[in-house]
Amino acid sequence: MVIEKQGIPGLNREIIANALLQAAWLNHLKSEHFDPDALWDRVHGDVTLLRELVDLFAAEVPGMLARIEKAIRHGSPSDLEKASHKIKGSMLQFSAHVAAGIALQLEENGRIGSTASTESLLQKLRQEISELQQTLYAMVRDRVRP
Amino acid sequence: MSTLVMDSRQTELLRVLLVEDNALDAKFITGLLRLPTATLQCQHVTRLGEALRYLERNHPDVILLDLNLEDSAGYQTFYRIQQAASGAAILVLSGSDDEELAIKTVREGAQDYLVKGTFDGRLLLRSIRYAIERKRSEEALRQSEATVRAIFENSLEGIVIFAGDGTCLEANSAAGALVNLSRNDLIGCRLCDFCERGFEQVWVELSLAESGRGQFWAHLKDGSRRLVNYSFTANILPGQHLAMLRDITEQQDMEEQLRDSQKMEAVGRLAGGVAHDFNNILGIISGHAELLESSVSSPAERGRAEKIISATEKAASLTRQLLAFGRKQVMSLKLLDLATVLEGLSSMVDCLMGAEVQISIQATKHVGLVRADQSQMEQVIMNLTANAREAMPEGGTLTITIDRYESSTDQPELPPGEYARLSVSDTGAGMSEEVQSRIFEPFFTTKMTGSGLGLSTVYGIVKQSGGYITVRSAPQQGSTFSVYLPVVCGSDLTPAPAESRKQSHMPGHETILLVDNEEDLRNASCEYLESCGYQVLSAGDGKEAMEICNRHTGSISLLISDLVVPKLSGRGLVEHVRKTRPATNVLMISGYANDAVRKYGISLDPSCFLQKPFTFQALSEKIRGILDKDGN
Repeated sequence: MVIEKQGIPGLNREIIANALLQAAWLNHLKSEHFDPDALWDRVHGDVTLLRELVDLFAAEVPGMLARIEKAIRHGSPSDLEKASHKIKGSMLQFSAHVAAGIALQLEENGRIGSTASTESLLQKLRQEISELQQTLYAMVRDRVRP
Repeated sequence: MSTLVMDSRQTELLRVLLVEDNALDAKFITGLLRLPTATLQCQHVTRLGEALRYLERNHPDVILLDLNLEDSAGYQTFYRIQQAASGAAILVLSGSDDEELAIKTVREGAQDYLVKGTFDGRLLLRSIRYAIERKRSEEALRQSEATVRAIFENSLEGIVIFAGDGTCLEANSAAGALVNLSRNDLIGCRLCDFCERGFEQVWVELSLAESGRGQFWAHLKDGSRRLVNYSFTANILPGQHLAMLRDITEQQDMEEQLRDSQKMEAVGRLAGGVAHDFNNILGIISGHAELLESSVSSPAERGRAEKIISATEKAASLTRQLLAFGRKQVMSLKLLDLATVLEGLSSMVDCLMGAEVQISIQATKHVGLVRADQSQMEQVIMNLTANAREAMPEGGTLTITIDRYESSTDQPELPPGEYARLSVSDTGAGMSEEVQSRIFEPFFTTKMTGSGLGLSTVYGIVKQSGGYITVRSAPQQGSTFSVYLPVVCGSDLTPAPAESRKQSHMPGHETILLVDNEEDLRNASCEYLESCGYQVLSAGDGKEAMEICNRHTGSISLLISDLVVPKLSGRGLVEHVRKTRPATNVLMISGYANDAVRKYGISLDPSCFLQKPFTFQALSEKIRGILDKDGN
């Protein structure tokens, strides 16, 4: 966040107040699972883009999870590796580090051909993504309007 | 496939191909690039195959590439894209923070490797711009290197890069050819291996001076040597020096030949000029002597007159030699068989050689006819023979051969063609290279009694006849002079017979206009012609001649004029006469050769020219030849 100095032309009290509120609101959503500041910065505060991304998240993620589930069910490590790799990339984009870490474990399992604890990892991933999705909705819906 | 065009304040529209099979990631990336400062046209494809097809027809500036696609994975994806789009910058966008893969792709040509989730729009846009700039710089550098390499490889000049100690680090083919080595064999050699002793010091001085030019003799392994011009630039890279080398051996040889040729030409012009003036004087002496001879009755006085005439003939012979050297001698070209010419001289050659010299003549018949003047060819043979005799004061063997020679190589001293070759060899003292280089210069002689005109006359005659002459000699190994005359046809044609000479004076009655500024010669000629029965109108310059021509009421059968007369040129006079008196014949006389007629721009039958000095007998024959042909 930019810390303004007193007396700088063009900055009025209202803008400064909104920025401080925005920061406080993002801080409220922050957890060890998700970094809303990083995501907000990445989209440059473009809430329209963020909304499009959240909508697409909701549309695409179930399919990605289904691919992982299918790969586990069919015992296909290579498919598990590919599907996990994909969802890992998306989680990184959304600054969801815990979800990305679980996806990485699944990807590693696929790469080494291990099926150990894949079911439970997938379950954890579903849980993480579900919580992330709720937070993302809140971020889009409850954002502070200047 | 979808297209996104973004607004921008930038002037340059960047064409981006995004290869990403994850719709969410693709949306993220295109969304991030939706910056006000971006001017992008982004094309999105989801498969490698789709990307390759797109690249067949399109040339994006940058490719944002996810390595793991449905139809390809890992480095293979990068490799296939790079092969299909060598001109585009490639930015790898990966979900794997794989250091090894990142280094490999960047080393193989990717401009950057970005891990998803670690960059925002500004960073991505900056990476794209940097990637494009780096790619363009690399491409410019690659093209520049290719250009320099092409120049290096194809240069006709030798280009060598030396290490500080003079070891050849890099060289082109031309440099190798200069010292008869392949390029690879030259690399690793030291410059001083080819240079004359002492060049090491020059090398040190060049290195200190940073740059320089000069020449050195390169000594080749086969014992030959080449003169090399060099241009040197020190430290084009730290500790590496550039040398441009040009073989100027042949150029220097040509320059020497040109200098020799120009010197001979200058001497020839001088000799020709002297001979011209001398001929006029001889004409006066012989003319008056002839008049004297015909007017005196005393045998003693007639004998003195004959001696004067004889002396002028000898003097005229000398001027002919000078004119031959200056290539200004009047030639009577005929088809000649050299073997026949030599046969006619065999008794004279015997007399000239004496008992101490053995003579071997090998004259092959039917070597082909040459176009030359017989008396000049006789003079060539006699001069070469006399020269050989003088080279063998203690005796030896003289060999004269005539054969046919075909030159097939384009050597400056003997162009390709068929030649009749006359060779005169002796077993005498031979000549050093220095003497050989001056042997054809007029007045150059190694003998106490020589005039220095013998071989220079031979040279002049051969050149005048369109031929070539070479000499091969070495000290104590004798000499061989070879004359090459172009064969103009086979020997089946009959050589022209020698001309018969009339002995009597020929009377006439026509009117002749005689123009010559040499008053004594003009008066003598006038007196002679009148004694033959002609009516003579004489003039000392062109203007006077024109006035006579205009004033004279009767016919003028013949104009006899020197080529060069004061106040009006011979050409101007001839044109005036032809215009005002078209029936008048023209006979030009000159101390120069007949080719001077053409040089002065006069259109004239060669038979209507008489070279000074001439005898009155020759003059009267020439006059009758012209007038009788005309029907007078």
